[in-house]
Amino acid sequence: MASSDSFGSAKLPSADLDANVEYICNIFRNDETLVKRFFSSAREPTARFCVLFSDGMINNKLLNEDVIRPLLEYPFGKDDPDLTRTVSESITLSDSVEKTDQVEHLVQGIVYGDTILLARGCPDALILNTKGWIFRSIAEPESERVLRGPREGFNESLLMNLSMLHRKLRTPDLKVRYRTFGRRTRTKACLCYLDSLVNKSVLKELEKRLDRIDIDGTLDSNYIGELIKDAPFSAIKTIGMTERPDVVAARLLEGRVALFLDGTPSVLTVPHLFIEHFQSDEDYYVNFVFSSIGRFLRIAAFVISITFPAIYVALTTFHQEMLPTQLLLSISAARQGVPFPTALETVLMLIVFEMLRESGARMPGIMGQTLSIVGALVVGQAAVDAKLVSAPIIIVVGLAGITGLMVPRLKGYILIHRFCLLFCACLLGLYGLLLGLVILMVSIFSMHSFGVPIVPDMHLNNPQEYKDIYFRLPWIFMKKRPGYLSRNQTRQTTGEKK
Amino acid sequence: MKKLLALLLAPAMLFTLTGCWNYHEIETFQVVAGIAVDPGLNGYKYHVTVECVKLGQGASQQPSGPQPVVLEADGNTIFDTVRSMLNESDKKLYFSHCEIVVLSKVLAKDGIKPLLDWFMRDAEPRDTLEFLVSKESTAGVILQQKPKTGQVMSYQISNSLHESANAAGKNLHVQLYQINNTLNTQGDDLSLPAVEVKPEAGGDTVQVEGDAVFREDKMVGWITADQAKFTNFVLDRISGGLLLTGEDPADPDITLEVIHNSTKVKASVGGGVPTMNIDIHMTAAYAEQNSTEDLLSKVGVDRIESYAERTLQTDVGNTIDTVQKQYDADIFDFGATISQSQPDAWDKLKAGWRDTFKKLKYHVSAEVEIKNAATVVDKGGK
Repeated sequence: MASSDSFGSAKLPSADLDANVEYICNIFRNDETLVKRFFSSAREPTARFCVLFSDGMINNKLLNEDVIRPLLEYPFGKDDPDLTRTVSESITLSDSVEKTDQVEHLVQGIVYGDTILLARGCPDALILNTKGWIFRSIAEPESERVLRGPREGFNESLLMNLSMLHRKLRTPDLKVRYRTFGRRTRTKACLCYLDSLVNKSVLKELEKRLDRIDIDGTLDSNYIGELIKDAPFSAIKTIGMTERPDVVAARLLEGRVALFLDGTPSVLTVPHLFIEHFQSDEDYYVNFVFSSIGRFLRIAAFVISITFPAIYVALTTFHQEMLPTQLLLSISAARQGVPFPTALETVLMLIVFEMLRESGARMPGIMGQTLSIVGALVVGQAAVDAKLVSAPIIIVVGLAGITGLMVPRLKGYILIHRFCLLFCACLLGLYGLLLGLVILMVSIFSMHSFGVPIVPDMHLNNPQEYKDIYFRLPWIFMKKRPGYLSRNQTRQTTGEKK
Repeated sequence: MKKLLALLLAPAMLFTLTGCWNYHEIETFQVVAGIAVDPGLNGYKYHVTVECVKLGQGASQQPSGPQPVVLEADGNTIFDTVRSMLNESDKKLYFSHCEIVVLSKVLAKDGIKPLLDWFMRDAEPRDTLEFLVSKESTAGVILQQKPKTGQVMSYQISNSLHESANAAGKNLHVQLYQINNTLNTQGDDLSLPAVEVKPEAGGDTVQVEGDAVFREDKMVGWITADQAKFTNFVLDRISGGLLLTGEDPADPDITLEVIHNSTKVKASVGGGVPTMNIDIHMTAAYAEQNSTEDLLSKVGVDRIESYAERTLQTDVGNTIDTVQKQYDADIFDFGATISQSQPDAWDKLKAGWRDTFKKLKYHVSAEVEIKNAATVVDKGGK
């Protein structure tokens, strides 16, 4: 044995049934889910077999009806020299049968829910597809709910997920290529793209990065996402993630590449532009006016959420002359007798808000009322009454928090940069805030996702490209795909000038 | 290593070179709403009264609203006086939200240039401070009155200045930068709004009334509110207000509300004394009539328009006459008009401008257009 998790090109040791069974059982020693069952044909005792499978991973009915029963009833000839061949060609009803003597393949078959059939006098074995395990039914993804539009979401089964995609894109142009990640988990994954649309350089870059991955386990697509990210230390996501088949299909139709991973409903898509954080699949299922307003609001909310506490601190502690007199007086009145400096007060309340949000996200639903009472009454009203914090701070933090929740996909980014900008503002006022914003803009504008700038505005010279970025025009106007994503830009042919 | 050093130095420069390290909490200030400057007592040069805004305690208790607090101090310079107020205030005074400065007439007569410097130079007071001259014996007494319509006296005065300028056209509100411009250019003189204590049932209050007229930076006298209004007509600073007119100018029974006014002043310099041609174009609404008959249908719009034109001509003329004779101060900016349109002629005139201004001829032409008669079409009862 080469190592505990790889068998190289080791072969079954002999043609002797018992020795082979013994050999495989030895590999799985101390794994008591492994079931072995010897049986032989009723009419011809020399036709002796053994099936090996991992209990719970297989469909027992399938094994009994389609494998064992036909074998027991089949009229074997005396001393059949190649029992496995006879079985695979003439007897078993299983849809996928692989004949091999590679130990590696056999072990993989057992751990993936296949059944291994060994026969007397054969130096090889059959891998029979008897996979059968329970998976979650198709439900709407919690994190990507829509009011209008398809409600199905991916589940943890790769094949199920691929079938959902296939049902949306019924074309042989959809290419599906398998890969395996994880030395120990052996997680199946697959790359999907539409061959005639995909940007080849993105695909090539993606494959190059995937080839470099060497990790022992991948339990969620984020394992892979982080390993192939353009800027691994940045809070900005340069890889899209979704649990919705319609979103994946739409992205493939724009020339993107999707990466499915077995065992997780979240599918990665690349390249991922910054503006995608503000776009929702629902934008395309409702009237374009509403979706354009929605996008504008989400972008505005993002800006408010990261800058508002910083602006408040800058104005009230550095640039009081910029506040209208009445506002200055009311803020000043509210601050009378509050023990902490404004900067500290803001930081503390932001942290309290994040704690409330985090506890709400992880908490059993039944305790929600407690949280809102503690959050709103104790932390908000009582703290103001007790003069621990001033009332405007509650408004500032509340507004920053609520607007932050409008763009849930940028949650982490907003959290970090809100504090960064606040720090800049505490140090240097509005000057510091602007400085921080400049750095932030430069960092966003210079970032790429698989060779595509995540804010492509600097590289766009065709107004056509803007039809689905900051607002969404009606479909009749969107005749072309974004050129920076796709090779083939024609989306609609009617009315197009030749 | 060098790169790292540069990276560390760059933020360090922000602190040392930008002067932005100025973190101070908002509640550590005493917000100053208005300042009054008087001649000093006990041998000091200035006596400064400031009106501050004292704030109620906290937001959740009874909203008592801002209360005015008046502080006074003496000193030899304005800044010195302001700083010595810290002897009685627990908080630093903050001038960025100060809106008015009231000058005593004694100081105004001596010349206001020396005391303007601190307001211009210091970072906190704004260039848009409104300056007024007190008609009372001191300027401080104005700020010590109890505010009647507002919560803080200074803000009440400042708001009423703006309102009366826009809706009555009677006052000129003059801001610090405008004073500075006027004092530093030739051919125009300053006029500042005047403010006085007005006895009224239920407590005295303060009203803005008329203008103080300056020659250079020294006050020489007063003009009434009506004269101030017609001065504004010449200066083309009318943005609203009323014009009272009628067949008999001594007993006006028609009120017009100015919708839009534009005045063009042109100088003709040829031969000796210059003549100023003042051309007033006014659009107005027929706003009130105090007669038993419907004048609009009886007399006709054209006649009423000509009444108004006559009123403008005579009243503007009277105002110019008064200022020419009594004060010899070019508050109409006639000199500036000549210097801008005919710089060559101005070069000859400017040396003896004071004398020339006294003899200056003028010609007022007015054109009034009545646009509407508000909500009454026909009064009936002919």
